[in-house]
Amino acid sequence: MSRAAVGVALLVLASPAAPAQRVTAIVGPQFALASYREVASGLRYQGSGFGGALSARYRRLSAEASIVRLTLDPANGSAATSGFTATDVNAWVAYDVATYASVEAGFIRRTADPEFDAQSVGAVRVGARSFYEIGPGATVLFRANYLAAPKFSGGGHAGFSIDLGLGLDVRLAGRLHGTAGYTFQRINRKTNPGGTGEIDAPMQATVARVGLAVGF
Amino acid sequence: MSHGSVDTLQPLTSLPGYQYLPETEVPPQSWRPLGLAFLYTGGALVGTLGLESSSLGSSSKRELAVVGGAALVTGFVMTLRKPAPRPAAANILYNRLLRDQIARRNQDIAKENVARRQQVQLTLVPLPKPSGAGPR
Repeated sequence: MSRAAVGVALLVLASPAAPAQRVTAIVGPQFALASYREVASGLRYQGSGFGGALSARYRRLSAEASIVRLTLDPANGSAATSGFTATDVNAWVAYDVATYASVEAGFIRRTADPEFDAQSVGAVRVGARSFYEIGPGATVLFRANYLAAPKFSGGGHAGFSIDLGLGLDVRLAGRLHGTAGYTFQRINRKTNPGGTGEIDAPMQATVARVGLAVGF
Repeated sequence: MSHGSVDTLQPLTSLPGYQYLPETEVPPQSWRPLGLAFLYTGGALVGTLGLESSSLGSSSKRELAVVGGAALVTGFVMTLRKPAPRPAAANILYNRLLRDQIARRNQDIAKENVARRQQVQLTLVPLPKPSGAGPR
């Protein structure tokens, strides 16, 4: 799915009208902090990692993609015995419907390694975001996405899944930008292990990404 | 044949008493950037608190503190900074009207100049016969 994200970004950048209509894009590395909980309050992890993010805008159309690789270890007091590595890929395509608001769609995919130490999840994102330029070159955004049709490596389904985000992009000097992003994710997963009846196996994750980016 | 001089009018570049106004203006400093940063960060905080799973317990706020803190600091810095100039719609409209008015006056002046050139006085003076020339 990361290939799809790159494809969307390249489509925007390689549009024939792009030079005349001024496509703006920023790309750069990010450092991430994360915490993750699954099934019960005792199973919790915290960690950090590195990744990158890309965003581009062409008129009312914008695209955004990020990838981050997180090393998550059992948090203090956690019942978990070992940590795992998660690769989190997100992509959005948005269309401005108003001066400060967009509708957006995209996907999320988080894979765990080792595979059975945590749930891998993939879902389609549908939602909206509000953004505002709070000063010269400084934009803050808030997004709310419904995670539709989530798929889990361990099976199950989720009737309610939501993803909230807070974002910040500040032009520091010339082409250099500072970026920050926060994501809160709640997935009400339910499973039916061995056909013994449906049980709750919710998932909750928070990720903070802070980085630098170069604008084009 | 000679013609008299014509007093034509010069085209206008401005109207007396009317000056172009700046098309951008620097808005007054306000707490709006910090307020908006609070609003967006508050939205994320309220959303996080409201959507936390009761069975999973309270989630870590470390991540929100990092990004929310950055947003609030940015909002505070932007509050202290001189705001970016923004288009002044009223001045832009005024300048457009002034330009239109000057263009209209210049069209009138051009028409009047054409009329003035057509009304120039012509003087016909018979030339003296050249000496030595006689009937053949």
